[in-house]
Amino acid sequence: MGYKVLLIDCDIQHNASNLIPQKERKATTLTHVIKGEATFEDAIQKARDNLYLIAADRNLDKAQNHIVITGIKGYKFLRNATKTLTGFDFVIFDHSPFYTAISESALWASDEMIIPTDLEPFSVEGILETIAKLSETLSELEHEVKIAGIVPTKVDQRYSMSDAYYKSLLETFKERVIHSIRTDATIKKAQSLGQTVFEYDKSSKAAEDFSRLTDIIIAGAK
Amino acid sequence: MAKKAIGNPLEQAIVSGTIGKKSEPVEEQVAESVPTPVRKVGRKPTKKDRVQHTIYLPPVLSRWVKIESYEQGREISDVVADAILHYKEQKDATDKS
Repeated sequence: MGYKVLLIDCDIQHNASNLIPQKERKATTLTHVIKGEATFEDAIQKARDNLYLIAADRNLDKAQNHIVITGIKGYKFLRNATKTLTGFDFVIFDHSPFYTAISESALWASDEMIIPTDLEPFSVEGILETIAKLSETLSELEHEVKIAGIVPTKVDQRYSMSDAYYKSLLETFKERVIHSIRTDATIKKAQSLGQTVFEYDKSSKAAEDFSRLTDIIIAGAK
Repeated sequence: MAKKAIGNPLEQAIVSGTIGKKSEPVEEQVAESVPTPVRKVGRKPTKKDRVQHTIYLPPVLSRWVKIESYEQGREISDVVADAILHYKEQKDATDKS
């Protein structure tokens, strides 16, 4: 597609950072940037053609504390910093599954959000909780974020319950539910090798689903 | 901080496909002169003592001032008046030097 993308890993588990092997990864991470010890430009590293990464590390909790202590300036940091970035078509924040000060800061910097959800018991309840919490935070920040889509993941059509959970999701969120990602061993295999699903097997179900999902999101963003 | 009326987040998410609330346009209602807090001890301030203003604070400051005033057992207006007075004194000192 040719879009230039910056991926910012906001998760202390830093799984997204594994796009670049540890040995080759810059020592400067999001932690240093948020703490004011480095600039965004210092931390940006090319991961693939047109894909750039700001990695996270296990000290990201210290950056969270820094945001809280710094107050408004800290919370607004990502918003202000990404506004001044040039040359990227998309900036994507990979959130932590837990709610942190960095999540709030990243939300404040975002225009749209994608909500992935596993198809399992209580997935609808989980999203309802998430939306309520996000709504509370974003309303306090006086900021509005568009839902680019709710994306069911690990969809296994062999299990009848998957279908039931999917229907339940669809009944509640209607057209906000967009293309599903089917369960596929390719995803874990690719992750274990630090590859994308397209690099591991571009003819896989996962590659097909993510490709379709990208088309939908790009079409919505236009 | 007082929770804003956020309506039904689920309904908003489904109908408009958004979460949160856009900031409203800021209306500046600043009086020409800076009011000096002239609160007298033992008496509730009357309208004559104070002039009403509508100010907009960043969420974090808003949250802080609410907690601070609660912990100090004071009104938010008093904390804000102190801050403005402090600012005015600093500014006066700078202007004189």
